[in-house]
Amino acid sequence: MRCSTRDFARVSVTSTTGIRWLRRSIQGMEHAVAGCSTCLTRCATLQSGNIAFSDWTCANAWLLIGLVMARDVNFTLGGQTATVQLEAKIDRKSLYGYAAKTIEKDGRSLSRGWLCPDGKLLRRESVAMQKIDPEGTPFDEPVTEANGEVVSLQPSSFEQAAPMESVPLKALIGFNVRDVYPLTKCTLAPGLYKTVFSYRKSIQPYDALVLVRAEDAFLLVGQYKVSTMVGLSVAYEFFDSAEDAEGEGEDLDFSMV
Amino acid sequence: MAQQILHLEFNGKSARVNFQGLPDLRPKPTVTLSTAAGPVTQVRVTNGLNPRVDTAQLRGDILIQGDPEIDFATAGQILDVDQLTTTYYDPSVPEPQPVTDFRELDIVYDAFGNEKERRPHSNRRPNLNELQPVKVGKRIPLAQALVQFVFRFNYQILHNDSLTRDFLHDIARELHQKQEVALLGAGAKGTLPLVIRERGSPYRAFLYGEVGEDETAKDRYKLLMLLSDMELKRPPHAASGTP
Repeated sequence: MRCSTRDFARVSVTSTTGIRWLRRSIQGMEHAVAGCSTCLTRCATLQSGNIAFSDWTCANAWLLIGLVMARDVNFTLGGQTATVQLEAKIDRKSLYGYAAKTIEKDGRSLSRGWLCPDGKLLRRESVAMQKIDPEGTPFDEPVTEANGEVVSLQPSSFEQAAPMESVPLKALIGFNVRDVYPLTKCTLAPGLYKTVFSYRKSIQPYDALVLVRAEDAFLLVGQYKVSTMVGLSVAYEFFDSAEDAEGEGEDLDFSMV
Repeated sequence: MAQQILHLEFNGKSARVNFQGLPDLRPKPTVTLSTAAGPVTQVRVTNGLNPRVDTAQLRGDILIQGDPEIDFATAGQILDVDQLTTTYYDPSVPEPQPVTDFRELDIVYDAFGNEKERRPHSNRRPNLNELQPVKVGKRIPLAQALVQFVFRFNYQILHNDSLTRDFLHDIARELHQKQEVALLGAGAKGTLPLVIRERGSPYRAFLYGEVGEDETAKDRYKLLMLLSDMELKRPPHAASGTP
Protein backbone atom coordinates (compact mmCIF):
# COMPACT_ATOMS: atom_id res chain seq x y z
CA MET A 1 0.00 0.00 0.00
CA ARG A 2 1.33 3.41 -0.88
CA CYS A 3 -0.31 6.69 -0.03
CA SER A 4 0.13 10.23 -1.31
CA THR A 5 3.44 12.02 -0.92
CA ARG A 6 1.96 14.78 1.20
CA ASP A 7 3.53 15.01 4.67
CA PHE A 8 0.82 14.64 7.26
CA ALA A 9 2.85 14.79 10.44
CA ARG A 10 6.39 15.39 11.53
CA VAL A 11 7.62 13.83 14.71
CA SER A 12 10.94 14.69 16.30
CA VAL A 13 13.12 11.74 17.24
CA THR A 14 16.23 12.79 19.09
CA SER A 15 16.83 9.97 21.54
CA THR A 16 18.93 7.06 20.33
CA THR A 17 16.80 4.75 22.45
CA GLY A 18 13.74 6.13 20.72
CA ILE A 19 15.25 5.24 17.37
CA ARG A 20 16.15 1.79 18.66
CA TRP A 21 12.56 1.32 19.81
CA LEU A 22 11.32 2.48 16.48
CA ARG A 23 13.47 0.07 14.50
CA ARG A 24 12.71 -2.84 16.81
CA SER A 25 9.00 -2.19 16.55
CA ILE A 26 8.76 -1.74 12.81
CA GLN A 27 8.49 -5.43 11.92
CA GLY A 28 5.76 -5.93 14.52
CA MET A 29 3.98 -2.79 13.48
CA GLU A 30 3.97 -3.40 9.76
CA HIS A 31 0.80 -5.44 9.74
CA ALA A 32 -0.90 -3.95 12.77
CA VAL A 33 -0.61 -0.36 11.59
CA ALA A 34 -1.30 -1.03 7.93
CA GLY A 35 1.37 1.53 7.31
CA CYS A 36 2.37 2.62 3.86
CA SER A 37 5.70 1.48 2.49
CA THR A 38 7.02 5.04 2.35
CA CYS A 39 6.53 5.64 6.07
CA LEU A 40 7.94 2.28 7.03
CA THR A 41 11.03 2.81 4.91
CA ARG A 42 11.57 6.23 6.41
CA CYS A 43 11.28 4.81 9.94
CA ALA A 44 13.64 1.95 9.15
CA THR A 45 16.37 4.17 7.74
CA LEU A 46 16.02 6.89 10.37
CA GLN A 47 19.22 7.95 12.14
CA SER A 48 17.94 11.01 14.00
CA GLY A 49 15.88 14.10 13.38
CA ASN A 50 12.38 14.22 11.96
CA ILE A 51 10.22 11.60 10.36
CA ALA A 52 7.79 12.99 7.84
CA PHE A 53 4.91 10.56 7.83
CA SER A 54 3.00 10.45 4.61
CA ASP A 55 0.00 8.62 5.97
CA TRP A 56 -2.31 9.55 8.83
CA THR A 57 -2.61 5.96 9.99
CA CYS A 58 1.13 5.62 10.44
CA ALA A 59 1.56 8.99 12.12
CA ASN A 60 -1.31 8.48 14.53
CA ALA A 61 -0.22 4.97 15.37
CA TRP A 62 3.26 6.12 16.30
CA LEU A 63 1.91 9.06 18.24
CA LEU A 64 -0.54 6.89 20.15
CA ILE A 65 2.09 4.37 21.04
CA GLY A 66 4.25 7.21 22.25
CA LEU A 67 7.46 5.74 20.94
CA VAL A 68 8.61 9.00 19.46
CA MET A 69 6.93 11.48 21.72
CA ALA A 70 9.92 12.86 23.63
CA ARG A 71 9.89 16.66 23.57
CA ASP A 72 12.26 19.10 25.21
CA VAL A 73 11.02 21.20 28.12
CA ASN A 74 13.11 23.94 29.72
CA PHE A 75 13.05 25.06 33.33
CA THR A 76 15.05 27.80 35.02
CA LEU A 77 16.53 26.87 38.38
CA GLY A 78 18.81 29.28 40.23
CA GLY A 79 19.47 31.30 37.09
CA GLN A 80 20.44 28.22 35.08
CA THR A 81 18.35 26.52 32.42
CA ALA A 82 17.67 22.83 32.86
CA THR A 83 16.42 20.88 29.84
CA VAL A 84 14.59 17.60 30.21
CA GLN A 85 12.80 15.38 27.72
CA LEU A 86 9.14 14.81 28.25
CA GLU A 87 7.83 11.41 27.19
CA ALA A 88 4.28 10.21 26.58
CA LYS A 89 1.85 10.55 29.45
CA ILE A 90 1.42 7.58 31.76
CA ASP A 91 -2.01 6.59 32.99
CA ARG A 92 -3.38 3.64 34.89
CA LYS A 93 -4.52 1.98 31.68
CA SER A 94 -0.92 1.57 30.55
CA LEU A 95 0.10 0.13 33.94
CA TYR A 96 -2.78 -2.12 34.91
CA GLY A 97 -5.15 -2.31 31.95
CA TYR A 98 -8.75 -1.22 32.03
CA ALA A 99 -12.35 -2.33 31.78
CA ALA A 100 -14.41 -1.05 28.88
CA LYS A 101 -18.17 -1.15 29.07
CA THR A 102 -19.78 -2.66 26.01
CA ILE A 103 -23.36 -3.32 24.98
CA GLU A 104 -24.16 -6.62 23.25
CA LYS A 105 -27.10 -8.49 21.87
CA ASP A 106 -26.82 -12.04 20.53
CA GLY A 107 -23.04 -11.69 20.48
CA ARG A 108 -23.13 -8.55 18.32
CA SER A 109 -21.64 -5.37 19.70
CA LEU A 110 -24.03 -2.41 19.67
CA SER A 111 -23.21 1.26 19.16
CA ARG A 112 -24.58 4.17 21.11
CA GLY A 113 -26.72 6.78 19.46
CA TRP A 114 -29.55 9.20 20.14
CA LEU A 115 -33.24 8.90 19.46
CA CYS A 116 -34.85 12.19 18.37
CA PRO A 117 -38.43 13.18 19.28
CA ASP A 118 -39.52 12.46 15.68
CA GLY A 119 -38.29 8.86 15.96
CA LYS A 120 -35.14 9.41 13.90
CA LEU A 121 -32.04 7.64 15.14
CA LEU A 122 -28.80 9.59 15.13
CA ARG A 123 -25.53 7.67 15.07
CA ARG A 124 -22.91 8.83 17.51
CA GLU A 125 -20.54 9.87 14.73
CA SER A 126 -23.27 12.01 13.17
CA VAL A 127 -23.27 14.43 16.11
CA ALA A 128 -20.55 16.95 16.86
CA MET A 129 -19.98 19.67 19.43
CA GLN A 130 -19.83 23.17 17.98
CA LYS A 131 -19.22 26.56 19.54
CA ILE A 132 -21.58 29.19 18.17
CA ASP A 133 -22.37 32.84 18.84
CA PRO A 134 -25.86 34.03 19.94
CA GLU A 135 -26.93 34.25 16.29
CA GLY A 136 -26.15 30.56 15.84
CA THR A 137 -23.10 31.17 13.66
CA PRO A 138 -19.73 29.43 14.01
CA PHE A 139 -16.95 32.00 14.48
CA ASP A 140 -13.24 32.30 13.79
CA GLU A 141 -11.52 34.18 16.58
CA PRO A 142 -13.46 34.75 19.79
CA VAL A 143 -12.39 37.13 22.54
CA THR A 144 -11.27 35.23 25.64
CA GLU A 145 -12.14 36.72 29.00
CA ALA A 146 -10.97 35.46 32.38
CA ASN A 147 -12.87 36.76 35.40
CA GLY A 148 -14.38 39.45 33.18
CA GLU A 149 -11.09 40.75 31.75
CA VAL A 150 -9.81 40.19 28.23
CA VAL A 151 -6.78 37.90 28.29
CA SER A 152 -4.49 36.35 25.73
CA LEU A 153 -3.23 32.79 25.85
CA GLN A 154 0.19 32.16 27.40
CA PRO A 155 2.75 30.09 25.48
CA SER A 156 2.97 26.39 26.22
CA SER A 157 5.79 24.93 28.32
CA PHE A 158 7.54 23.84 25.12
CA GLU A 159 7.81 27.43 23.98
CA GLN A 160 9.13 29.13 27.11
CA ALA A 161 11.12 28.08 30.17
CA ALA A 162 9.15 27.89 33.42
CA PRO A 163 10.75 28.95 36.73
CA MET A 164 11.49 26.10 39.08
CA GLU A 165 12.40 25.91 42.77
CA SER A 166 13.39 23.10 45.08
CA VAL A 167 10.74 22.19 47.66
CA PRO A 168 10.58 19.58 50.44
CA LEU A 169 9.07 16.19 49.67
CA LYS A 170 6.05 17.07 51.81
CA ALA A 171 4.94 19.45 49.07
CA LEU A 172 3.41 16.36 47.46
CA ILE A 173 0.82 16.33 50.24
CA GLY A 174 -2.18 18.38 49.16
CA PHE A 175 -1.23 18.21 45.49
CA ASN A 176 -3.90 16.64 43.28
CA VAL A 177 -2.08 14.96 40.41
CA ARG A 178 -3.88 15.10 37.09
CA ASP A 179 -1.20 13.95 34.61
CA VAL A 180 2.07 12.04 34.96
CA TYR A 181 4.87 12.31 32.40
CA PRO A 182 8.14 10.38 32.63
CA LEU A 183 11.23 12.52 32.07
CA THR A 184 14.46 11.48 30.44
CA LYS A 185 17.83 13.19 30.11
CA CYS A 186 17.13 14.79 33.47
CA THR A 187 20.27 16.26 35.03
CA LEU A 188 18.57 17.63 38.15
CA ALA A 189 19.67 16.34 41.54
CA PRO A 190 17.26 13.90 43.24
CA GLY A 191 14.51 15.75 45.04
CA LEU A 192 11.29 17.61 44.42
CA TYR A 193 10.94 20.79 42.38
CA LYS A 194 7.95 23.08 42.08
CA THR A 195 7.08 24.68 38.75
CA VAL A 196 4.17 25.22 36.36
CA PHE A 197 3.32 23.35 33.18
CA SER A 198 1.01 23.72 30.24
CA TYR A 199 1.06 21.25 27.35
CA ARG A 200 -0.77 23.69 25.11
CA LYS A 201 -1.25 27.45 25.09
CA SER A 202 -3.45 28.31 28.05
CA ILE A 203 -4.81 31.10 30.15
CA GLN A 204 -3.34 29.71 33.36
CA PRO A 205 -0.79 26.88 33.43
CA TYR A 206 -1.26 24.01 35.82
CA ASP A 207 0.78 23.65 38.99
CA ALA A 208 3.48 21.06 38.52
CA LEU A 209 6.12 19.16 40.48
CA VAL A 210 9.21 17.48 39.11
CA LEU A 211 10.08 14.45 41.20
CA VAL A 212 13.61 13.21 40.60
CA ARG A 213 14.34 9.79 42.10
CA ALA A 214 17.67 8.00 42.02
CA GLU A 215 16.75 5.94 38.96
CA ASP A 216 14.09 7.99 37.16
CA ALA A 217 12.24 11.29 37.06
CA PHE A 218 8.61 12.30 36.56
CA LEU A 219 6.67 15.48 35.91
CA LEU A 220 3.48 15.58 37.96
CA VAL A 221 0.94 18.07 36.66
CA GLY A 222 -2.07 19.04 38.72
CA GLN A 223 -3.33 21.47 41.26
CA TYR A 224 -2.32 22.50 44.76
CA LYS A 225 -5.03 22.31 47.39
CA VAL A 226 -5.07 24.19 50.67
CA SER A 227 -5.61 22.30 53.90
CA THR A 228 -5.70 23.70 57.41
CA MET A 229 -4.92 22.63 60.97
CA VAL A 230 -8.17 22.28 62.90
CA GLY A 231 -8.66 22.98 66.58
CA LEU A 232 -11.58 22.21 68.84
CA SER A 233 -14.02 23.79 66.43
CA VAL A 234 -13.96 23.46 62.67
CA ALA A 235 -14.18 26.54 60.44
CA TYR A 236 -16.26 24.93 57.71
CA GLU A 237 -16.25 28.13 55.66
CA PHE A 238 -12.64 27.37 54.84
CA PHE A 239 -13.57 24.38 52.75
CA ASP A 240 -14.67 24.45 49.21
CA SER A 241 -17.66 22.35 48.28
CA ALA A 242 -16.93 22.37 44.57
CA GLU A 243 -14.54 19.44 44.57
CA ASP A 244 -14.49 18.19 41.03
CA ALA A 245 -13.37 14.73 42.01
CA GLU A 246 -14.51 11.36 40.96
CA GLY A 247 -14.74 11.85 43.08
CA GLU A 248 -3.89 -5.73 50.41
CA GLY A 249 -1.45 -7.48 51.92
CA GLU A 250 2.26 -7.10 51.26
CA ASP A 251 1.76 -5.95 47.67
CA LEU A 252 -0.82 -3.30 47.01
CA ASP A 253 -3.13 -4.34 44.22
CA PHE A 254 -3.79 -1.38 41.95
CA SER A 255 -5.40 -3.41 39.17
CA MET A 256 -8.87 -2.36 40.26
CA VAL A 257 -10.43 -2.60 36.83
CA MET B 1 -21.11 22.48 51.69
CA ALA B 2 -20.58 18.99 50.27
CA GLN B 3 -19.50 17.08 53.34
CA GLN B 4 -19.43 13.36 53.24
CA ILE B 5 -19.36 10.84 56.01
CA LEU B 6 -16.59 8.35 56.67
CA HIS B 7 -17.15 5.43 59.02
CA LEU B 8 -13.64 4.90 60.33
CA GLU B 9 -12.15 2.25 62.61
CA PHE B 10 -8.88 2.66 64.45
CA ASN B 11 -7.50 0.59 67.32
CA GLY B 12 -10.78 -1.26 67.82
CA LYS B 13 -12.89 1.91 68.04
CA SER B 14 -15.05 3.23 65.25
CA ALA B 15 -16.67 6.60 64.61
CA ARG B 16 -18.52 8.40 61.87
CA VAL B 17 -16.62 11.54 60.91
CA ASN B 18 -16.83 14.10 58.12
CA PHE B 19 -14.54 14.50 55.18
CA GLN B 20 -14.35 17.42 52.84
CA GLY B 21 -12.78 18.48 49.54
CA LEU B 22 -10.14 21.19 49.70
CA PRO B 23 -10.08 24.62 48.05
CA ASP B 24 -7.58 25.40 45.28
CA LEU B 25 -4.43 27.32 46.15
CA ARG B 26 -4.74 29.18 42.82
CA PRO B 27 -8.44 29.18 41.89
CA LYS B 28 -9.11 28.61 38.21
CA PRO B 29 -10.31 31.76 36.43
CA THR B 30 -13.84 31.84 35.09
CA VAL B 31 -13.26 31.79 31.34
CA THR B 32 -15.80 33.03 28.82
CA LEU B 33 -15.54 33.28 25.05
CA SER B 34 -17.39 35.98 23.17
CA THR B 35 -17.70 37.55 19.73
CA ALA B 36 -19.07 40.91 18.63
CA ALA B 37 -22.51 39.28 18.66
CA GLY B 38 -22.28 38.14 22.28
CA PRO B 39 -21.12 35.24 24.43
CA VAL B 40 -20.27 31.93 22.83
CA THR B 41 -22.13 28.75 23.72
CA GLN B 42 -21.39 25.13 22.94
CA VAL B 43 -24.12 23.10 21.29
CA ARG B 44 -24.61 19.66 19.81
CA VAL B 45 -25.16 19.74 16.06
CA THR B 46 -25.58 17.19 13.34
CA ASN B 47 -22.42 17.13 11.26
CA GLY B 48 -23.97 15.77 8.10
CA LEU B 49 -21.74 12.69 7.94
CA ASN B 50 -23.23 10.31 5.43
CA PRO B 51 -23.60 7.00 7.30
CA ARG B 52 -23.95 5.00 4.08
CA VAL B 53 -20.43 5.80 2.91
CA ASP B 54 -17.37 4.00 4.22
CA THR B 55 -14.89 6.88 4.48
CA ALA B 56 -11.95 4.46 4.59
CA GLN B 57 -12.75 3.44 1.02
CA LEU B 58 -12.86 6.97 -0.37
CA ARG B 59 -10.05 7.82 -2.77
CA GLY B 60 -8.69 11.26 -3.56
CA ASP B 61 -10.28 11.46 -7.02
CA ILE B 62 -13.73 10.65 -5.59
CA LEU B 63 -13.37 13.45 -3.02
CA ILE B 64 -12.25 15.90 -5.70
CA GLN B 65 -15.24 15.12 -7.91
CA GLY B 66 -17.88 15.39 -5.20
CA ASP B 67 -18.77 15.21 -1.54
CA PRO B 68 -20.16 11.71 -1.08
CA GLU B 69 -19.17 11.65 2.60
CA ILE B 70 -21.47 14.58 3.43
CA ASP B 71 -25.24 14.60 3.50
CA PHE B 72 -25.95 18.35 3.33
CA ALA B 73 -29.64 17.91 4.11
CA THR B 74 -28.87 16.63 7.60
CA ALA B 75 -25.96 18.94 8.46
CA GLY B 76 -26.02 21.85 10.88
CA GLN B 77 -29.16 21.04 12.84
CA ILE B 78 -28.82 22.21 16.47
CA LEU B 79 -29.99 19.46 18.81
CA ASP B 80 -31.80 20.03 22.08
CA VAL B 81 -30.06 17.64 24.46
CA ASP B 82 -33.12 17.43 26.73
CA GLN B 83 -35.15 15.97 23.87
CA LEU B 84 -32.65 13.28 22.94
CA THR B 85 -32.81 9.79 24.38
CA THR B 86 -29.78 7.56 24.52
CA THR B 87 -30.31 4.40 22.55
CA TYR B 88 -28.27 1.49 21.22
CA TYR B 89 -28.27 0.15 17.67
CA ASP B 90 -26.58 -2.47 15.55
CA PRO B 91 -24.06 -0.57 13.37
CA SER B 92 -23.90 -3.38 10.80
CA VAL B 93 -27.53 -2.84 9.79
CA PRO B 94 -28.03 -0.39 6.85
CA GLU B 95 -31.05 1.30 8.49
CA PRO B 96 -30.35 1.00 12.22
CA GLN B 97 -33.18 0.82 14.71
CA PRO B 98 -33.09 1.01 18.53
CA VAL B 99 -32.32 -2.39 20.04
CA THR B 100 -33.89 -3.59 23.28
CA ASP B 101 -33.08 -6.47 25.66
CA PHE B 102 -29.35 -5.96 25.35
CA ARG B 103 -26.66 -6.99 27.81
CA GLU B 104 -24.14 -4.65 29.47
CA LEU B 105 -20.70 -6.21 29.70
CA ASP B 106 -17.31 -5.10 30.96
CA ILE B 107 -14.42 -6.28 28.80
CA VAL B 108 -11.23 -6.28 30.84
CA TYR B 109 -7.96 -5.59 28.98
CA ASP B 110 -4.46 -5.96 30.36
CA ALA B 111 -1.74 -3.31 30.11
CA PHE B 112 -0.81 -4.54 26.63
CA GLY B 113 -4.37 -4.21 25.34
CA ASN B 114 -5.09 -7.95 25.32
CA GLU B 115 -8.54 -9.04 26.39
CA LYS B 116 -8.45 -10.84 29.75
CA GLU B 117 -12.07 -11.49 30.62
CA ARG B 118 -15.68 -10.53 30.05
CA ARG B 119 -18.02 -10.00 32.95
CA PRO B 120 -21.46 -8.49 33.55
CA HIS B 121 -21.23 -4.73 34.01
CA SER B 122 -21.57 -3.57 37.59
CA ASN B 123 -21.98 -0.05 38.92
CA ARG B 124 -19.77 0.73 41.87
CA ARG B 125 -21.35 2.16 44.99
CA PRO B 126 -19.74 4.42 47.60
CA ASN B 127 -18.39 2.33 50.47
CA LEU B 128 -17.18 4.86 53.01
CA ASN B 129 -20.27 4.95 55.21
CA GLU B 130 -21.29 1.31 55.36
CA LEU B 131 -22.06 -0.95 58.29
CA GLN B 132 -18.49 -2.23 58.10
CA PRO B 133 -16.19 0.69 58.89
CA VAL B 134 -13.20 1.64 56.77
CA LYS B 135 -10.21 0.22 58.60
CA VAL B 136 -6.89 1.89 59.32
CA GLY B 137 -4.41 -0.77 58.30
CA LYS B 138 -0.82 -1.24 57.29
CA ARG B 139 1.64 1.61 57.81
CA ILE B 140 4.13 2.83 55.23
CA PRO B 141 6.91 5.35 55.88
CA LEU B 142 5.71 8.77 54.72
CA ALA B 143 8.80 9.48 52.60
CA GLN B 144 8.37 6.15 50.80
CA ALA B 145 4.65 6.57 50.13
CA LEU B 146 5.07 10.09 48.74
CA VAL B 147 7.46 8.97 45.99
CA GLN B 148 5.82 5.59 45.33
CA PHE B 149 2.21 6.50 44.59
CA VAL B 150 0.37 9.07 42.48
CA PHE B 151 -2.14 10.92 44.65
CA ARG B 152 -5.12 12.04 42.61
CA PHE B 153 -7.24 13.61 45.33
CA ASN B 154 -6.80 14.99 48.84
CA TYR B 155 -9.64 15.17 51.34
CA GLN B 156 -9.51 16.53 54.88
CA ILE B 157 -11.11 14.48 57.64
CA LEU B 158 -12.91 16.55 60.28
CA HIS B 159 -14.52 15.88 63.65
CA ASN B 160 -18.12 16.64 64.45
CA ASP B 161 -17.97 16.54 68.26
CA SER B 162 -15.42 16.35 71.05
CA LEU B 163 -15.35 12.55 71.05
CA THR B 164 -14.58 12.30 67.35
CA ARG B 165 -12.11 15.17 67.75
CA ASP B 166 -10.11 13.13 70.30
CA PHE B 167 -10.43 10.05 68.07
CA LEU B 168 -9.02 11.84 65.01
CA HIS B 169 -6.39 13.73 67.02
CA ASP B 170 -5.03 10.42 68.34
CA ILE B 171 -4.70 9.03 64.79
CA ALA B 172 -3.03 12.20 63.53
CA ARG B 173 -0.62 12.29 66.48
CA GLU B 174 0.44 8.68 66.00
CA LEU B 175 1.05 9.11 62.28
CA HIS B 176 2.86 12.40 62.87
CA GLN B 177 5.16 10.97 65.53
CA LYS B 178 6.06 7.91 63.45
CA GLN B 179 6.22 9.86 60.16
CA GLU B 180 4.05 7.23 58.49
CA VAL B 181 0.92 7.05 56.41
CA ALA B 182 -1.71 4.40 57.09
CA LEU B 183 -3.56 2.43 54.44
CA LEU B 184 -7.33 2.63 54.53
CA GLY B 185 -9.40 -0.30 53.33
CA ALA B 186 -13.11 -1.02 53.05
CA GLY B 187 -14.99 -4.28 53.51
CA ALA B 188 -14.96 -6.87 56.28
CA LYS B 189 -11.21 -7.41 56.04
CA GLY B 190 -10.35 -3.79 55.31
CA THR B 191 -8.66 -4.68 52.04
CA LEU B 192 -11.04 -3.28 49.42
CA PRO B 193 -10.38 -0.01 47.60
CA LEU B 194 -12.51 3.01 48.47
CA VAL B 195 -15.24 4.34 46.20
CA ILE B 196 -16.16 7.93 46.99
CA ARG B 197 -19.18 8.47 44.79
CA GLU B 198 -21.89 6.60 42.92
CA ARG B 199 -20.40 4.84 39.83
CA GLY B 200 -17.06 6.31 40.86
CA SER B 201 -13.60 4.90 40.36
CA PRO B 202 -11.95 2.77 43.06
CA TYR B 203 -8.97 4.25 44.87
CA ARG B 204 -6.35 3.08 47.32
CA ALA B 205 -6.49 5.49 50.24
CA PHE B 206 -3.81 6.63 52.65
CA LEU B 207 -4.20 8.58 55.88
CA TYR B 208 -1.73 11.39 56.53
CA GLY B 209 -1.63 12.96 59.99
CA GLU B 210 -0.06 16.08 61.42
CA VAL B 211 -0.38 17.76 64.84
CA GLY B 212 0.73 21.18 66.07
CA GLU B 213 4.22 21.00 67.49
CA ASP B 214 4.46 24.07 69.74
CA GLU B 215 2.62 24.55 73.02
CA THR B 216 -0.04 26.90 71.63
CA ALA B 217 -0.94 24.63 68.71
CA LYS B 218 -0.68 21.19 70.26
CA ASP B 219 -4.47 20.74 70.24
CA ARG B 220 -4.62 21.35 66.52
CA TYR B 221 -4.42 18.55 64.02
CA LYS B 222 -4.68 17.81 60.32
CA LEU B 223 -5.81 14.46 58.99
CA LEU B 224 -5.86 14.04 55.23
CA MET B 225 -7.13 11.17 53.13
CA LEU B 226 -4.94 10.79 50.04
CA LEU B 227 -6.47 8.84 47.16
CA SER B 228 -4.29 7.01 44.66
CA ASP B 229 -5.13 4.90 41.62
CA MET B 230 -1.62 4.09 40.42
CA GLU B 231 1.97 3.66 41.40
CA LEU B 232 4.58 6.06 40.12
CA LYS B 233 6.39 3.89 37.60
CA ARG B 234 6.81 3.35 33.90
CA PRO B 235 4.50 1.00 31.98
CA PRO B 236 5.84 -2.56 31.63
CA HIS B 237 6.31 -2.28 27.84
CA ALA B 238 8.23 1.02 28.17
CA ALA B 239 10.37 0.16 31.20
CA SER B 240 13.08 -1.60 29.23
CA GLY B 241 15.28 0.43 26.97
CA THR B 242 14.35 3.72 28.53
CA PRO B 243 17.32 6.06 28.88
